[in-house]
Amino acid sequence: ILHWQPNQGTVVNSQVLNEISQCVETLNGVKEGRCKASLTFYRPNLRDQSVTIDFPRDFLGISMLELPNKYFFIIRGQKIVLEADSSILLIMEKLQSYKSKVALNFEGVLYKLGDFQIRVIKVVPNQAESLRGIMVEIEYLPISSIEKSKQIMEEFIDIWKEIVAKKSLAGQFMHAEPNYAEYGLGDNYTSQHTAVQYAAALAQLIQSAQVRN
Amino acid sequence: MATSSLEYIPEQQKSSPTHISSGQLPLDLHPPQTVEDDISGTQLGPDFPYYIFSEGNFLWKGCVRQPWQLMFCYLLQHVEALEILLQGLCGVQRERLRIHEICLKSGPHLGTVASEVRLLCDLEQSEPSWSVRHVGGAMRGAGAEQVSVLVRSMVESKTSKNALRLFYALGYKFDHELLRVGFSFNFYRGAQITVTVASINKMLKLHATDEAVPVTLGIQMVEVIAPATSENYTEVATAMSSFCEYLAPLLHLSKPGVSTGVVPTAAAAAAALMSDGGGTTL
Repeated sequence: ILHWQPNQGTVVNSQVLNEISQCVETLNGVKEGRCKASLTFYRPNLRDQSVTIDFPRDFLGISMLELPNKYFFIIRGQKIVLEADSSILLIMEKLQSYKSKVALNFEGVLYKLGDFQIRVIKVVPNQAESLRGIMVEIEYLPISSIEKSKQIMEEFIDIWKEIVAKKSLAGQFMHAEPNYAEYGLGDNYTSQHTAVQYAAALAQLIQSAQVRN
Repeated sequence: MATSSLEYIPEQQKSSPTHISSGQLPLDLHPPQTVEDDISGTQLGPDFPYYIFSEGNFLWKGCVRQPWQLMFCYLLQHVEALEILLQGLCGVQRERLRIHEICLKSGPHLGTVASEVRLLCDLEQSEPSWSVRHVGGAMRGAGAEQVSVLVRSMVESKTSKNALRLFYALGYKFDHELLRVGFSFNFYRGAQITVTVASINKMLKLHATDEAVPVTLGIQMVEVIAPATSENYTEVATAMSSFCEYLAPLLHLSKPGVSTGVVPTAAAAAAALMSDGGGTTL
């Protein structure tokens, strides 16, 4: 996953998004459909507000439209990822120990390029339309091993960055692969890896927005 | 969702004494408040032939409108006979069961009310598989009076293996753990019924499932579960009661608060089952 880093003093806007989508089409990407993920920050429901520090600040829940029966929980600070049935949400509701606070959507358009799949994703708040960020998710379909697909992925990313650079947009794509081993995840890529990447990309988006502000 | 009709109540105080067959040591046994209470509070000698206590509990799985009905009973001996009987009744192969159940409670300050969650690890599979379960309060009212069981809500979710780490990180604390070892039968007879017969074991060291010992030597727990919806739970309760009548030669099941006592002819019935491998019609 690559997230868009706007240059200092600029913000991401739909013009940039359009240009990026055009880059995909330049590569003969064929539009295949839409995708969506929802990310929800949870906060503890506390009787005594002063003990907030004892509880995780980065407890995140992720649902993916492509996996309607699954839900993912992540606590980034402790490198925990959990994949569960979507009924876990009902359990959380019954427990009443955590409440959802902020929700963001990753709304994407899915393109197919030969053996690759690219999702051009816009990050928007749950109830609003304002664009908060842009991400691009690149998937190499034939290989599930992260190690084995590393080279071909990096080559593709280089090509992608070159094409985007030609557009002279006010920003660039940044790429930072999370350390999956820290989360207890293996070399075989799974939807848990995706959840970890989404959480990491979101954290980077938030951080760069805070730096600029 | 039917949960609006469920109110949480503490388990009713059951005051009826348990009957014990003649010739046995008199025991001062109080019916348990919950299953867990029973396990920790019961003390029986190893030379006790059998003891039967019955209790009915009905678990309601609210999320998919599928209540689970549960009836418990405990029996010391005749497990093999029960297995033969069940094999004949169900017509399916038994499945082995080895489930590690960890009960977590919310730490201080977390949540406006205290909460409890159970993590279940199925150790019978080659790869242990985890699930998270929440059991809620009991149903009250006219509807509850009419069925032969108690109704409680239950929601379960399968998870990947980090469930314990996650809940600890969220502020939940370890309360107790159990290991259930036994077998189960899953079949259709008016309802999709699952019968589980298992011993309840405790671990001497935290999470040391290899060193588990029975909580009370010789006691097994029988659970009979069937999913139903808020619309048909009375029919499913009837199907389950009918099925449980077939177990009557060996054990009784009934609603909490109603004493049933032992089955006087259980020993003879068990002997009959064992001798001809289950061919006898009881």
